[in-house]
Amino acid sequence: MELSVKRPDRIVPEYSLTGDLLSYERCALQYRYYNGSALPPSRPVQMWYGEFIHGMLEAAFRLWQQLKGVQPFPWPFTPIPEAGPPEPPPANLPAHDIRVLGWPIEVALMHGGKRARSRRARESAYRRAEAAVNLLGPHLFPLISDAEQKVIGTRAIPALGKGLKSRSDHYALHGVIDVLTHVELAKAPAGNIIRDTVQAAFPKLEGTFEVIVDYKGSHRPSVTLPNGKPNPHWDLGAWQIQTYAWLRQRQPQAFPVAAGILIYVNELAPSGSDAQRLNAEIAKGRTDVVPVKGDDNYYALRAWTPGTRPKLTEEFRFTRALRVIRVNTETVVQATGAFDKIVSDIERCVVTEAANGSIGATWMPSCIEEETCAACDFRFFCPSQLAAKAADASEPSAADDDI
Amino acid sequence: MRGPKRKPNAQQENCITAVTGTPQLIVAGPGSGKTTVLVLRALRHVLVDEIPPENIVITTFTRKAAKEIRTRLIEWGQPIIAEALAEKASKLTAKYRAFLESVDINRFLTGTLDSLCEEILADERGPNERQPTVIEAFAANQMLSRRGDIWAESEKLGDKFKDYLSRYTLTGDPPLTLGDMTRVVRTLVDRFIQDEVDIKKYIGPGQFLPARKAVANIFERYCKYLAETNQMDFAVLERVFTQRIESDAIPEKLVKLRAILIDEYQDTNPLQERIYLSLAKASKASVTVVGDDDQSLYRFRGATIELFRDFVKRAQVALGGPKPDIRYLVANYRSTPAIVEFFNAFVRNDPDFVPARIHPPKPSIAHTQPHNGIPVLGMFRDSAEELAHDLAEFLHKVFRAGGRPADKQIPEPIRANEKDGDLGDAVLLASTVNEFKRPFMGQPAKPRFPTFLRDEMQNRGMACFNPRGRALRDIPEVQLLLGLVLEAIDPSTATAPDGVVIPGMAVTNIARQAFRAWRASARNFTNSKPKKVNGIAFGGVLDRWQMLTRDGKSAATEWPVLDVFYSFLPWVARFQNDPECQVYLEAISRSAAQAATFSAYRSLLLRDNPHRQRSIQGVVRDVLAPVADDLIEVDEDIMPSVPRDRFNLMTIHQAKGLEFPLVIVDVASDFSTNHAKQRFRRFPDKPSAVAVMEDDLAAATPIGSLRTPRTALQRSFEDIIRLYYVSYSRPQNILMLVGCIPSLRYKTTIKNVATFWTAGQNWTWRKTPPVRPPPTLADNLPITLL
Repeated sequence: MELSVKRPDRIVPEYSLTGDLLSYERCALQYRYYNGSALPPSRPVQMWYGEFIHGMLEAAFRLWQQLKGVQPFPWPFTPIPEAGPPEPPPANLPAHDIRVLGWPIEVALMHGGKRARSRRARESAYRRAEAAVNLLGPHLFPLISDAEQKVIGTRAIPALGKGLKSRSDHYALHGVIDVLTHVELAKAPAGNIIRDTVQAAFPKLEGTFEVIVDYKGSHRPSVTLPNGKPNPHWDLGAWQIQTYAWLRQRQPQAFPVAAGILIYVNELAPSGSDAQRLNAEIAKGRTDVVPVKGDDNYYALRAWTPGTRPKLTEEFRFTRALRVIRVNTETVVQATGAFDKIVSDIERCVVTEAANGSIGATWMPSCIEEETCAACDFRFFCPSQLAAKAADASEPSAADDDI
Repeated sequence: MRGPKRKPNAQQENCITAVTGTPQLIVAGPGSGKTTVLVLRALRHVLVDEIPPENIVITTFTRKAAKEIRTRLIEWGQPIIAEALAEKASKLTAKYRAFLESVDINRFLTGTLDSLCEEILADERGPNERQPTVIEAFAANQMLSRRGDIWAESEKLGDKFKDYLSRYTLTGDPPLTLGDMTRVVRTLVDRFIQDEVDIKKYIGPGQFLPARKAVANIFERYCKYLAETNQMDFAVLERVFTQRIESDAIPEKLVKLRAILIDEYQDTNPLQERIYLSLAKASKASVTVVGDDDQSLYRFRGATIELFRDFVKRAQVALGGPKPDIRYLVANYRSTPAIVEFFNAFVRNDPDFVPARIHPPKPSIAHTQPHNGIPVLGMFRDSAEELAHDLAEFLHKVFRAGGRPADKQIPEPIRANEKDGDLGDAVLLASTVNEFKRPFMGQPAKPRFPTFLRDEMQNRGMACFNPRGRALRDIPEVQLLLGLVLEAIDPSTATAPDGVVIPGMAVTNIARQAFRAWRASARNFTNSKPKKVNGIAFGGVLDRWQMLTRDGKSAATEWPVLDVFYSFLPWVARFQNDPECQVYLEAISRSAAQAATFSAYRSLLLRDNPHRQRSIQGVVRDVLAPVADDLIEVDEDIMPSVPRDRFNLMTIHQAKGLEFPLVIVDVASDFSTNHAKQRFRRFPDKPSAVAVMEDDLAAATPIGSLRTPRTALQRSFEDIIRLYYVSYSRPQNILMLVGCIPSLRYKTTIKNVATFWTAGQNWTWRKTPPVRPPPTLADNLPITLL
């Protein structure tokens, strides 16, 4: 009598667009530990900041919706105290004060073990949240038809190759679209910066359509890397929008998605380190939005001194913050295909590890950014050169307080 | 039935096609395709009843089972819809085609009930409403302990408090440590919520009144804290959700609910039943529940088998509609006829179990698989060591040496699949897979059968997978890593071998002993002069942390303790590479991450005094001591799959819903004498702690009278019968029972439900009338001994 073979578990793997696919693209080995083994990061600083900014914009929109525009922008911001631990805002502040909006979000994050790394980081996050709400709110909120829209879809996993059999023929892809606008965009008055930006990018856009908006708790990525090669994160941002568009089309009653806007929130209230980075990128021709030589922003950046924040015009900050992405069938097919390939890479690693029982022999470090390695908890034994450099510091890495 | 291509049998078809206006109770025996039926009925709701998937809720008991259901819905549903849409336009009406085109199979609401409650509540919050935080068991217990002030109540009442809690410990002994007390109070407070206990009645006159009042106070403080901080444990989550759906504000996602399908209904608790029935009543959704009363295993978590048994009556009263239909699935597609006959005989063995089962009685399970010539096997030896030796030898023959040849005992050879067979095709199931007994009176812990088996397997070049077999604190890699952490944050010296800070702290003796073992491991390692990794010297890392924690020298003012953990990983290679070790690393790092949510210093080490010393104490008390006290559970679900070349050892609870070609059930490796302390695991002479708790709370809860018609002792027997019924019904090809010989002696005093003893003390493994002179071994064994 020959024993049967135990039937393998049949599971359609689920992947989150940002939580899995973008993380894997950042570094495969880091992804294995943080996502595969569910190891908590020692300093979920970036996680805190990203969730704080998203939470603030969502809460501000919902309150704006509830108040039906009664409280005009700018909304007040009572600064956080200069000393002492994080505490609830004073009781007499109005509901639309940025402090009042931020506190429940901070508390929820604290209960999840996430907090600002330092007072400076917290102040910086509030400053950026305030800029985001007061600069974006008047233009964006009236156009929103839905916020925090959960989307999910199923796609085929491309063949893994090398005679490997994947766990399933399909994978489920899910994500959360920060903001959806639809016909309201066309009705928006001239002077609405969101409408103007979309129209400037695509003057012939007509009919009923949706625009997907995604907030990024970061600066605008450079188009190329310091070594002159294309920056993969530049493309990933665009692919993300295209893939959200594909997911959105799977939902009942969805309008066609014509475009997407990535909003790099840090650009609305740039810090000193943003100015430093931008100057370096301009000097090497690595960024796509630069000031006109001789204008106010040009001088504000050229004359910038460390320890200060650059005095950039609102218009320039908006231009840096908003990136419009065209969406059509072709671009969607290209982007979703790119993510299919990432899924296939991950699945190949999962199947290979199940056979060889070794993480190190399966998941290769693939990080291209020093800052990712510097904040990685596994840099001390990672075989990549970048990690070795980051691990060489005399102190364990401290993430940038200035975010 | 294995997939959509095989036609359902008549019973299955009836279940799938049954009318939607009448609630359906499907009683499904093991291996009868119940999940398949559930999934096909859900798809029928879409394809025939034209209900959009987003208006259908499907719940099951575990995250893994939920994923499996989701997988089947996608893998079966999508091709069916694609095929239907590919038909010529004339075959489908325009309306139906439009409906099918709008269907997105991903949008079924599937999950565990808790995960759905969490998701729906999070989606429904208002603009300035905080996102509720659902806390995991470890953090929840720490909050219960601290915010509930269990220690203060215990100090105030002394033995009165501990004596009361001792009613609910496994062994009946009073809890010794705060951790032990918290565990007992946890089961009580969960029951308060799940059984909807009237606290005023609970603290009514009677025995243990001061202690009961103390528990009620703890419960009140704990709930108040959770409410104030917008946090929920799983029981509170269910209660909040119940309140929400019974208010006028039905969550948007559930407004259009049209069908509810519930898997594993036999393990539902009263609050969950209320959620399901309230939802069904409010939405008038079609209800289908699936389960098997004989496979209910979770009484200790509040599961109330009577809710399943009496579903027809209870649903009719609650919903007010037609009387629910009851349907049976009894064709088994998993096991050989010999195995099916064996577990059928087992579940029918005790006449006192009959009234505990569903009525009208479920027909016997019918086999559909061919005979394979292998009877149910038994391997019994004088000792656990000898049993481990011979079982390892058996497994080696089957999986590594071309097979066990046919002989007089078994006329069929047994071998692994020639192409793909490996140890992953076999499993050892036991009520506990602990590799060591609990240490007693300062004696070191004695090894149990799983340890001997692991060693014997290793001697033959085979590996075991048993992540729950040892306490985390006893895993060598964990000992080394946490020993290094201890040396980093509270360095030992020749005159202070336990460090400087820890000796002044109140930690349990168990924790203190564990700390010593960990430090010893770390010191051995340090003395071995570890090599540099990535150019980093081990000594440099250790020095740096010691300079921070001992001398307050550091550029930064604070450090997360996880930084200390991770900085030593380069020297514990198995934490970098071995998939099994990831399970341990996840558990200990989770301990640090979760402590950040309740610990005063949030798992940070601060540079400046007085906070430096206090923060070290915080890490010891809230991160390290819980590991040492064995309060942290591993979560093997983080592994996508167990490597095929490892032999699995798992508890019977873990094996629920699984099947393996070869299943070895440990029925008696611990039982060589009729020791009183073991009886609760095989033939209880007094009610189990959980049955006692049910009785004690009966007068204060609406569900009480449903449970108490059967005595607490009868319910304790039922639980053991169901446990072994589940284990005996897992195998596809071979079932083997293993244990020590004394259990099989004709005149044995070791009564054991697993070996077919009845509560009435009859043993069918002996012939009647008795043989004279009595033989040595029981003379009516339904197993073939090896």
